[in-house]
Amino acid sequence: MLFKNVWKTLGKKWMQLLAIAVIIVMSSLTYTMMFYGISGIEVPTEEYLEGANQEDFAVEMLNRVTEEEMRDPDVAALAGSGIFTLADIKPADESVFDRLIASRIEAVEEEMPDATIELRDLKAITYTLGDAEHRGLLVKESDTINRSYLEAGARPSTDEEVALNKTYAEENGIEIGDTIDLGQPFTVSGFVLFPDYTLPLFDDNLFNLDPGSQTLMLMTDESFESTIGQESFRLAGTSDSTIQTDLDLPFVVSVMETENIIRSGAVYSEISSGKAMALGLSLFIVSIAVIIVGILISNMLEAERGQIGLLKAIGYSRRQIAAPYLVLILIFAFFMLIAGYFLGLYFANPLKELYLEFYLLPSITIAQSPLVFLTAVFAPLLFFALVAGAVIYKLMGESALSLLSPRDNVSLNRLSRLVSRLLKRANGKTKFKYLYAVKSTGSFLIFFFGILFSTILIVFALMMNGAVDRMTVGGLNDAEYEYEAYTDGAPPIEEGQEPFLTYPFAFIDDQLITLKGLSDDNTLFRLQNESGDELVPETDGLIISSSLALKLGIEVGQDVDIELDEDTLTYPIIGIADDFSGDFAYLPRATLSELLSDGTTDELFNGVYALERPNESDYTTILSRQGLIEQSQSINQYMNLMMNVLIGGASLIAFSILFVLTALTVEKNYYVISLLKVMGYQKREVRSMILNSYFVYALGSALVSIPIALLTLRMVVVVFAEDYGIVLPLEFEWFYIVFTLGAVVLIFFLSTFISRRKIDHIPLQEVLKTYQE
Amino acid sequence: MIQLQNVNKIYKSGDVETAALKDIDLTIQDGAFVVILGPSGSGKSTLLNVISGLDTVTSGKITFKDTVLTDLSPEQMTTFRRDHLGFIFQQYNLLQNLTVYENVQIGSDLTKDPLSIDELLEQVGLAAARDKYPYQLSGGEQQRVSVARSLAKNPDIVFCDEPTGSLDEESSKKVLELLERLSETYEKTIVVITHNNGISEMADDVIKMNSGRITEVTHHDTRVAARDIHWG
Repeated sequence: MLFKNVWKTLGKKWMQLLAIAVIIVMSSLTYTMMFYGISGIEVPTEEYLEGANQEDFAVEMLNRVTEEEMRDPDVAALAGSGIFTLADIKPADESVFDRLIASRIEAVEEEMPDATIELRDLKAITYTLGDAEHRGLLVKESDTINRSYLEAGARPSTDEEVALNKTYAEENGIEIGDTIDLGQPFTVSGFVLFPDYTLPLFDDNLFNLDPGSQTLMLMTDESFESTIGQESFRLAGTSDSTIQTDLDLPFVVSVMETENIIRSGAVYSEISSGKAMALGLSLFIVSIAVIIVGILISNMLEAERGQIGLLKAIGYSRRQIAAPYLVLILIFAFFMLIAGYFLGLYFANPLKELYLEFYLLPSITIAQSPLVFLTAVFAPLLFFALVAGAVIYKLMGESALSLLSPRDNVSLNRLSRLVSRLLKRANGKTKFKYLYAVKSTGSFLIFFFGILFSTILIVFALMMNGAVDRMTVGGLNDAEYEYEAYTDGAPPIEEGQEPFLTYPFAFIDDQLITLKGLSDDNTLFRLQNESGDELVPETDGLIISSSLALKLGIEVGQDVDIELDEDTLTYPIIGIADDFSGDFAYLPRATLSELLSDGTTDELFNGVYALERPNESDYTTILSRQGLIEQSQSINQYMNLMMNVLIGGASLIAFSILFVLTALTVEKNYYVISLLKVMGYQKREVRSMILNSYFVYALGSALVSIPIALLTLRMVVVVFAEDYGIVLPLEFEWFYIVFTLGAVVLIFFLSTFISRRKIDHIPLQEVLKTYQE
Repeated sequence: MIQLQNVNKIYKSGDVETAALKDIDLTIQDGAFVVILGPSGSGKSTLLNVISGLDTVTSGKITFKDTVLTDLSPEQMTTFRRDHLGFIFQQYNLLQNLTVYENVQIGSDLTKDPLSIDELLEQVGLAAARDKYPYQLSGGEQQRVSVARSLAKNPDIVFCDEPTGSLDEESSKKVLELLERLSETYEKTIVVITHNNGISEMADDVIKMNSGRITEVTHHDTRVAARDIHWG
């Protein structure tokens, strides 16, 4: 009978229970979805990376010969004829190239005797598939480190065969046995993965990783060598000992451990941070749910204290009375957690697939784990049992007589006293309004943290809006050229072409940068600062890209030292270009040409911006501006989806919290509302007095949360830029404040709609019943 | 002046109909101290509810001066209560997180022409407790705050539903003395509902009710002072 009574009481509160159900379901859903989604890639990834012998570290090295290496007469002879990069030396004299690489490997091995070092030979190509320009990175098969992993089919056995990434093939409708044109026809023999490219990150641009328009490729060694493309080299290493990341060798640009290399190691931090986030996020949500359930039970029991007192008086034990409340609440929470678990399991697969759209990893079917089930369902259930049990037992502990008497008036909390002092000069109505929402410190804190949490997510999502665009295409949208082409020679500049000079081997504060020389009369690619003002390169000053400024933490007016070969040049920063696509420093082309040629010429160039596609025989690499923009679409869509999910999730949590708290407030203040109506306050005024303070507090909390969100995100940007070299171009616009507040207002009015109606329907006669606040 | 003509109130619960008020005809004069007396279930609270517009009548007419209250919409009735009526209940209904002064202010905020809160607090003997919260007051003191709150908006009529129902004799007499004094000072019509026969001694008019009907209306030419009534 007692169960039936509690069941009916809970039934009357179905709206609040529904909102609480949303929060409880979200807590186990978040955990299960993220955990299974991540473990769906973690387990096969570990096996794959171990089996394919993923590098433990990579040595990025200069593509040009060093002064020391120039002492070799053969190298010096080649340099004398203008061949001084590894990419040029290899086809010119392979024995010299092999000697250079062997000496570099030897030099590294001397520093790290326990390490095994191997050359990683790569070649970037562009080709047309359908009507779109695609990028391929040919990877030469290695002997021991970073061996290819076959997902399906076979490795190429003839010079007319190629193996690709499976995701790329799927997105382009390519099957094994199909032929693709890479300048000449190749038959797809299979699908491969490379352990040093768990992300298809072919250049410095973090977000140019569209798996639908770029792929890793495996060919026979002969085909690799004969295919024309931009060749690059690095050293891959494995070692059981500590890796020396501070090698002081002239050809070494950087030594990075795999965990810190985005293309190969991002998946590790994705897995660990994903797991931490799964636990942290679900713990946060479940805490909110537990506290709200605690408040709901407390209110429910307070409303029934007379009835409980009567039961105690006629002989029911504390345990007998408490059991129905506790058991029914736990059954409710249990089913919601189970529902959340299975929803999480259901959504884990799309999440895993989403990961696999970008990460180049093998996939397995997600298998359920008892431990995840226990963590997602029974851990929060225990949490619920403890809190609900404590609340129930506290009230049940009172004597029957005390429960049968109206509750003695309770004293005010500190928050109420503070607000009361702040509103000393306000009228009674205003004081009433603002004191009601802070009557319970616990409820108010949940309310505040709920709004804070939602606001941070909304602000982050808004600031991320366009960030990917800024990183991927950034200045490309504003540029006037159609093609950017690179040459090893000096072809004649045709009409509609503007030459530029790049030198990717300079350093500022040990940061490898690309010096770029732009022509004075350059019109096809203009630099602009954040405000949209044009920046013109000057002889005695340096313009740097925003990403470089962020990484180095430097501003306009500061001096920087550029290391250029053996020279160190000091320049003041005269401008920061709104460009996040790489670490660039800009000078006039003539100045850079003179610097690189020791003053002999101001006419050097190694690339052009062009309106028409340049001749392929003159230019080794031709990049289409439109092609690059299109390549960024995929990651843009993905990021937009994630941002929308973020805003949606944040809104749902804020909605549920506001809904439950305002509904409970109305319920708890049934008699007060009735009293106000009896006194002559109109419905509109009563609604305002009971709920509008929440509105003001919600706006206030959101306003407080915005700077907190901005500070937090600013710290994240700086830490990522300075410690990891990853630039997140989060941008804040003033209208984001309006948008965030607008979102909070909308959530407030939607979530309090039911409460407003409930206030209107509270009868006047309620006040005549036994009144208790 | 309030006039009730042939007022009936029937409550329906499922198929069961209960007549709470039957053919009530009644006149309450301005400035009168009226006591409605009757046992539980006699209909006295229902009578107060319909007069004050807290509940609607099933049939009949209630007028206040020239206003037909039974014709007013809920919103108009709220405005009427706001402008003309004050209430005191058995439970003091104070707002726990407002001070004594602020509780009275909640009443005075309803009108543009309120009585002075300080003066009212002086009258109810709580001037020194103006910054105290309800939990710091005794039951009698809380009821006195409730009295001050009901008068703060300067109503024409104050309805008191068992105002001493939760108080001991001494505190009750203090509250009744207060009502008596305020009725004289501010010339308000006071309507007190009670089952305590003694309180009827201090009334101008006593209306006795039983089973939803007025069984007797008595007029006192001289009222007994609240301090001297026979408590019981």
